[in-house]
Amino acid sequence: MGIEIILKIAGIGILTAVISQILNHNGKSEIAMVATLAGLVMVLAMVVSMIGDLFSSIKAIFSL
Amino acid sequence: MEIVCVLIVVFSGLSGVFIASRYRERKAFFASLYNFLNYIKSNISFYKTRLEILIDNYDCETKFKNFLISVKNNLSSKVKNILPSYLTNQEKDEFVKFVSSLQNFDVSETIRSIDFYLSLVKNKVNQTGEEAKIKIPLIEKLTLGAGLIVAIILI
Repeated sequence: MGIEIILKIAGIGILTAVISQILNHNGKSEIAMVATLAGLVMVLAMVVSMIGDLFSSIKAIFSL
Repeated sequence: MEIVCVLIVVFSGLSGVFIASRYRERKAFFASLYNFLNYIKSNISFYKTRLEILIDNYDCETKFKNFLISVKNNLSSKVKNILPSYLTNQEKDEFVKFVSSLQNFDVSETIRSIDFYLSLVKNKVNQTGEEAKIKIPLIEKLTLGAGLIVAIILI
């Protein structure tokens, strides 16, 4: 895991925020929500395995 | 498991958007109805145009236009059946009462009836606006949050 993943997440976050703001200002809040959801899902797909590893590590550390 | 988690988040987010769309549609319906009532009020008072012609000439978004056309085609039969499901029974009754008053009275009584219904719809426009402002973000965030919690539990 390097700095690349953090930069990717930040990039997706900024892009999603901009798209969402533009859509909200045009009165299309429904599509803005879907765009935000798409960004969230993209980030989630990237980090879900890492979160799994984190939980496994915590379990191993505390011998759970 | 990763795909299942992502699908749960997608499903919960989209279900939030779907549930919240009821409030969006209510708000849009009453705003369109308010504009339409103002339009028919001015046209009936000045030109005494028939309602069928006013509906044909009225320019608005497709969904509301289709609704008006279905109302026009069902003026003599039961209007209540064609009303959108997101309206409450009381709102449906008020609308049916208003439509039946349009067919039975003369011009001055019709104008009075439109004025009365216009004041009701204006209140509804304000009410649905406030409702949409509070409830739409709440529903969307709650459903998405619930989906995220389930996904984290499954991981």
